[in-house]
Amino acid sequence: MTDAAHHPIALAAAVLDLLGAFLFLASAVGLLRLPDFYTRVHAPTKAATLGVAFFALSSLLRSIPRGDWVWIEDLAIVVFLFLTVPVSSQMLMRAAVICGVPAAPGTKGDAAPIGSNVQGE
Amino acid sequence: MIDVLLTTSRVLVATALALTLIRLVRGPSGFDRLLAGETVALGLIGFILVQPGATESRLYIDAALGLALFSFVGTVVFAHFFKRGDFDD
Repeated sequence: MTDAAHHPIALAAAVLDLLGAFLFLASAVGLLRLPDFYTRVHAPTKAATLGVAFFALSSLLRSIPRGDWVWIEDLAIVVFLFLTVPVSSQMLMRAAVICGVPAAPGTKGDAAPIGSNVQGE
Repeated sequence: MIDVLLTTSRVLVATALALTLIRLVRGPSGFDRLLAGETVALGLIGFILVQPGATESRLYIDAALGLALFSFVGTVVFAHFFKRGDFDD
């Protein structure tokens, strides 16, 4: 390997990569194990976007010894995901409430009472 | 040391992608499949973004940007379409 690969910054970037990968694995396990759809929405849309942010941060650290600007592209991906993933997950959740996807048996309260503004348009 | 960390990261993201595919196959409702499809796109973005640490190649980062764009458009279109219908399966 080159000597840039043995820089201490490379070790910090690798640790950040591992942290982001752990968040990805946690989001996938949550998507697989949580009881109903309304709880399953939370796992990937929060943990995986934070994992992508960690990957972009490690890319920023890795480009410090090289002195280049390629991390701008990763930053663009992260900004776009932070803007769009909450919007799309909220639209998915709203459509599921309107279509009446059943909640888990222990759920308290009613997500969409009749006549609330989630039905009307 | 660093190689072990980077390989572990890639293996973890690939495992997350495989678990997401399980949910995509057996999701009870169609909304679970839509959510799993969006998560597959997110996992692919993560898998692309974790590669440059180990391979020193940034060939596929543009593909990650395109995936981010089109997964959002696809999910919004499907959610808007199924907002007024029954979508059991």
